[in-house]
Amino acid sequence: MASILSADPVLHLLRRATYGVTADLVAEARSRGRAGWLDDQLHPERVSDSGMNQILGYYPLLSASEAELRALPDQKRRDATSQLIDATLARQLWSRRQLFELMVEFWNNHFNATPSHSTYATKALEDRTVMRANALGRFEDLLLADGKSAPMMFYLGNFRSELDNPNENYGRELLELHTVGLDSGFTQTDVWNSALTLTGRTIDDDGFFFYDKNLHYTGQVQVLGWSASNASASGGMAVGDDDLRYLARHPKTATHLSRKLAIRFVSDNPPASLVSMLADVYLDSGTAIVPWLLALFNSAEFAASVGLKRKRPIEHYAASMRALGIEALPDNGMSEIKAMLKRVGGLGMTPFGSLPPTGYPDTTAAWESVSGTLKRWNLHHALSTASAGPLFYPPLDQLLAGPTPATAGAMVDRLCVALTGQVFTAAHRGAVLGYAGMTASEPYDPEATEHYLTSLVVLILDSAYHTLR
Amino acid sequence: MRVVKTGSIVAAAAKVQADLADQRARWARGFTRRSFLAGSGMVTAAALGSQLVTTRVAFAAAGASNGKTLIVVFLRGGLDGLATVVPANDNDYNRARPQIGIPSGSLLPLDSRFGLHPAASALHKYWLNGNLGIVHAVASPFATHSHFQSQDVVERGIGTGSMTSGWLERAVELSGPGTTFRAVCEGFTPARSLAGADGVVTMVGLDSLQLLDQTPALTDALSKLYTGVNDPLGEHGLQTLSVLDDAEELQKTDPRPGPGASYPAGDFSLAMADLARMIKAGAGVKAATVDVGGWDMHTLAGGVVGTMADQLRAMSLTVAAFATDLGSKLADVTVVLMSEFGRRVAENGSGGTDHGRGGVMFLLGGGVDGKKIHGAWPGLSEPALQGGDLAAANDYRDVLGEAAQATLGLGSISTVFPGFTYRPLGVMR
Repeated sequence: MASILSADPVLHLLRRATYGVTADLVAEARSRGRAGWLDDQLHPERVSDSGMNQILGYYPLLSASEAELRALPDQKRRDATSQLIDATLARQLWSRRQLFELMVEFWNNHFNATPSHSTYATKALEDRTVMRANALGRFEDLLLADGKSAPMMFYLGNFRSELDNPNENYGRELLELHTVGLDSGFTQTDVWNSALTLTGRTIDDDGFFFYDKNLHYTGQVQVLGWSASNASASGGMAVGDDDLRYLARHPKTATHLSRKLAIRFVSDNPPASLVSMLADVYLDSGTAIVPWLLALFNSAEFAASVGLKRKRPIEHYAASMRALGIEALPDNGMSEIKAMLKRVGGLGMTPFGSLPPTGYPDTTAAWESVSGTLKRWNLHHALSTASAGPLFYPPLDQLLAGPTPATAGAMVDRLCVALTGQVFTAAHRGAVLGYAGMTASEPYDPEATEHYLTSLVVLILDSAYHTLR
Repeated sequence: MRVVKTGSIVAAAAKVQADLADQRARWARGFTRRSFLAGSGMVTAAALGSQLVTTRVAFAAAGASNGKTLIVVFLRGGLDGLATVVPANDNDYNRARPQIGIPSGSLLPLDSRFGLHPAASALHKYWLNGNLGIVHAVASPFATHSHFQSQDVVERGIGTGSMTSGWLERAVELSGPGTTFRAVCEGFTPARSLAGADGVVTMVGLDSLQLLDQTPALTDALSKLYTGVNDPLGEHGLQTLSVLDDAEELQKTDPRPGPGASYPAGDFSLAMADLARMIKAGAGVKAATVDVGGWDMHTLAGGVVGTMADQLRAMSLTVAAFATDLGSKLADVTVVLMSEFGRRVAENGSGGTDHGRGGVMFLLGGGVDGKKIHGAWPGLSEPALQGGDLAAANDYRDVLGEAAQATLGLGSISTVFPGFTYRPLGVMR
């Protein structure tokens, strides 16, 4: 039996490749065509984002140079990370480069390095120079850049990993989480050698990455099928980079990453055929990310996966805001985003908020929660009644814009399309109408609609049509 | 004239159940039915448990639940058992941990071999009164040095098999039907060990079970919107509505901790206080899980003071407050504290420890054979170690099996840990 979600290929793509469908987005994608819209999203420099650029003006530390960040006094360093977290949510909500933002989140989550006091000054730099710089580039470059990231060296303890007494944490997670994965069958000896290879990658007194050759282990190292004589401490960085290049192009990495990408965009248990095809594309393209995403979104498996994913908490929050067209009030200098973060945090997820090195989970079972569902329903109530803080809430009757609907059923259809991109089944439309004591065929009654409009909007957002993606 | 529907959720739920008959079997089980309670105001403990029943209780004998509760607290990241239950006056230990070892002189005495980290002093009282038992050098023989693989095998309670259900889920199923709250995961995300249980409720506290502007018309419309969804989400939406309904009476109970119980701040305390409230109200919680993260201390773990000490102190204060909160109800509760693995015997070059094998488990409760360190102790001598790790001298399934068997009143637990030869260590009385 088919999903209740519309199998329209444009809607299916928009539900997966954005933080939430809006009426404008649907119109834009339909006029540009599915392939053209996707192509633009995969080349974000082509997508103008002037509104977002204006908002980013409130977050000057995001573009600060390393020298400027080094000069920040201790008490100001926290601001750099705080601006990053705020701006990340703002970008997810309002940037027009939606797929780019999804991939930035995907890589930040893949290379999770939870911000902490020691990395407040460098976290935003990592986001800009590691994740954003490579989000749609090549995985090999991304991995090499992450291997020089101060937050990662701190978070997984490599900054204290020395000589022949290394801290195994980064060396292990590099294999298990970042590249080849557990299924590759790496051993404790591989972990140990991986850690030895990466000794010397540390942070300086200011908390910025540097390679300290005095901490680097020298001598033969071997990780899986890669080895190096690693004879000199001064050559240790190059040896480590060589190891990272080997890992980036390892077939097990291709499979591990392809499966993870397919879980993100296709289904919780992606078909083996899809994973294997994506792994081939990844290797054939020299770890390039754009052809890989294109192959995923154009696959038969993707087309057949309508309705198989649910929105994670941040996606659900963003999609609710986007559906209602809620925006920040610039006069407040984006201060309201703090309240928004608190609300999304109440759903169990915030940008950069995951504590374990796995990042946030990405399957339905991992997030299914009775409290979570009630909190999402209450969120819809707060947003629809304009009681979620000092934001710009467009009047709800804009959702009914257009020629006057003839019947109550047509009125609810129009609300459903405006909020979720599609009409509901007759039974589900009946459930919404029934709340207002209406029937589908009765004439449209503007007064009664006005009276019930908020509740109807809340119910439509509460439905499975808005929860699935 | 617009008439707001006032049909009760009972009627809606009955129809919904019929509509859902062909939904996936896994998800179609355990749908709860509203049992209306007379009266209002503060509800006493005795009243609740017997009235919040799943439909299946209709054909099970009254008192299917023995009124006892098993709580599994998972300390995620790999608890350093050797910094928690410390070998006293042990030269191997002192050699392996020159910087972060806990000096014998600072330990709170346990038995002749071990002492408790001084930061965990809040638990020592329960050791002394016989409610706290310990198993050392305990692990899954199938765990590796991977957090995620190890948590996965431990929580599924299996070896290399592909069984996807969790061990606690199987134990609670074996115990038979119960109330809406018979299986509770406290937290934003469900624990793997219990996540698939029939009607499991994942929640961040009883008071989070609220729906703004709730009216019968709203819940009626929602139940219709979640019927005919052709996705497990449909069942989840309906479950949410029935839990919401059943929570109403429980929410009238006194949320304040019992006399003398003072919980420290933090999510772990919120979860444990909430469980205590439900247990005291007789909500019929059979099995519950709580996660506490932050134990993966590769770097600068500290010794008598420091990161590990702070974390142990907070954890111990919460567990002790929970025991105090329960008062005499502690007799009906077993709390298991466990982790995915222990840590390497030797400290690393960063003042921390890397992933190891044998770890420590605590059991707290009225049924625990306390004031004992159960099981085998292989020691820390070089030949006794497994690749630098404390050996897995005891199997965690023997401990969990016994805790579940005694607490939930189970007979054979062969379906809880299939293919495993169960040899209880005597951790329960």
